[in-house]
Amino acid sequence: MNSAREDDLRRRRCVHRRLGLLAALLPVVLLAAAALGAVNISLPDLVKLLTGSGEIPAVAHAVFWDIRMPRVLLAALVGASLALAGAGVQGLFRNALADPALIGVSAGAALGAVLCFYFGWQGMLGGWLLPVAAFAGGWLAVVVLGLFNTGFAAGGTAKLILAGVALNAMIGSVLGFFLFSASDDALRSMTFWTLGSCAAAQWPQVVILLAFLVIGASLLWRNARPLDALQFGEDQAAHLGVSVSRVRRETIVAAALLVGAATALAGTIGFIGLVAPHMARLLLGGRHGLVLPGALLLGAMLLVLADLGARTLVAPAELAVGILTAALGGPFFLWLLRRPSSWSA
Amino acid sequence: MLRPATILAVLLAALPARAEPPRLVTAGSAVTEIAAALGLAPQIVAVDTSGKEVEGMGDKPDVGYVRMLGAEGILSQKPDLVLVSGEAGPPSVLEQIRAAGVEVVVIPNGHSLDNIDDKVRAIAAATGRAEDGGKLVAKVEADVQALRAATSGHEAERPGAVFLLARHGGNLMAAGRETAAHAMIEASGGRNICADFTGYKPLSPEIFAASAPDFVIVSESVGGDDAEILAGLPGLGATPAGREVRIIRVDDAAFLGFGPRTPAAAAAVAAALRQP
Repeated sequence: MNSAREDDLRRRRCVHRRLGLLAALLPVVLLAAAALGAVNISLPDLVKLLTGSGEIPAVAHAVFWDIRMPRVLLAALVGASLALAGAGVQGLFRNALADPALIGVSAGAALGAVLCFYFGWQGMLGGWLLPVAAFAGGWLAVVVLGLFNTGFAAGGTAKLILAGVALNAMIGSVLGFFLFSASDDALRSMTFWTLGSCAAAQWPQVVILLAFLVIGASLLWRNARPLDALQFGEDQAAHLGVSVSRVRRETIVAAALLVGAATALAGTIGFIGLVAPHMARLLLGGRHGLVLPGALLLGAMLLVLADLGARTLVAPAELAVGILTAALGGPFFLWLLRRPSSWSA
Repeated sequence: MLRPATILAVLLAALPARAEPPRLVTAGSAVTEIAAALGLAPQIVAVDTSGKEVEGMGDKPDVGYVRMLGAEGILSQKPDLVLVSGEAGPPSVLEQIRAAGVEVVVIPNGHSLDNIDDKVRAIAAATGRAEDGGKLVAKVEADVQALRAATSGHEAERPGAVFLLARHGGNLMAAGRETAAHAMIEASGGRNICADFTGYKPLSPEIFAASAPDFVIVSESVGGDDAEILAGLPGLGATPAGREVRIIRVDDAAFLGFGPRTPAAAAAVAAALRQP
């Protein structure tokens, strides 16, 4: 009895140490990513740029503070948002294969963006029409799905997944129509958008996404314990005093805010929302109080590193970041899966 | 107060800056082509992906697709001037380049033979090549005049033509109205048989057979000989009339780019269209 409690205590301490390690690793990854890029900035210059002292060439200053920093931070925020949304949706659906895309927000956002490219509107409103249209498209899809959520009372989560599948298929068909009839240039832009990119990052985008991340993360955070209870099944969770329909509503709203904003600013980026929560679970166990922050940190680091590859591998040109997320995260995930761990499952 | 050594140092510092011509990054195939035609090729330090096809630009660094440029990649080439075509973007990237103190000049697109000289003038003005610009404008205008002379007087018997784009696994796309290809078919003295729709659309075999073109225009990059291309045309390849269709191959950068080589490419197509 006593040794079991000690065991539990030791395990908790170890898990908290790992979370602390991830949190300490994030600033290191951010700094390393900000230090590297197509334009070569020497180490002494980097120190001057960060401390704000000494003479620095104007171009290096602009590259570091106006181009690279917002981009690295945007990549971190996009990765964190996608991973958090994934952790929430997987917990809600109690399904390891659940992806934020399941609730239709990515497809809706893609439709908004594709319409912009189709009509050649992507440059309108100083380039802001595209993210606004994508965000609106994502929300429209989630609102349609939400109408179903109110219709499904008990045991509605399974039906919600099916409704999401149907909604995705319907949006996919409309998307297909526009892809098919688009001009070659528009088609190319659409394809690039669906592979994701953080290239258009500027400070306003960073601030906006940070606001969305704070709102979405707090919504999910206050549902961390109810999501834990939900893992025993909806009926059991209800007996434990959890309002299942409220958890469902808030999780979906949070995921839609996070994925909608991230996708609007960086295009659709796959893999992170699906796999970062699993990585967090493998490292930290299944409690949502740990999975949520863990997924946030892992998602942020993964996308920052993928974006670093996107902007340096074929410099001065760029790769779409969606090509690299899975290429980078896949091997790491497989390694985690193979590693023996007492509480991995 | 000024010592001779100071004056000398200032002069030495100023000299290389003056002697070195500005470094250019160009994006958009017509922009790159015009810049190269103005003799700016040695100053072009990087081009977009489409610019790699322009003669002599094959070994320049590639800054990516013209609509999806990256700010840092372009700045890493240390340009003094970035010349881009109208479709270049995203807008925020162009802003970032300007914010880093590098001049960005956008050359408006125009899908008309009358716009080419405007582009040449704009690029010549931005790069201080007014003299070369004037020569190139004169040549372009002469080519356009020659084309107009060759095609005028034949308005009544304009042969039916269609521009086909091979895309995703043999699916043929035909150029409708509001495309560069439509403008070029009309300018070359042809009649676009697909003028009842806009943009590029998948070819309907029935419409194709009904409006039977006399000429099919395809890109040089389309593989296979004439017979193979004809056999692949839906609704036409199998019919006797279909075998009478003639194929015209064009260099699409010249034919569709509305750059300095476009009037000559149109003249070549015009000559082919008038062959009995």
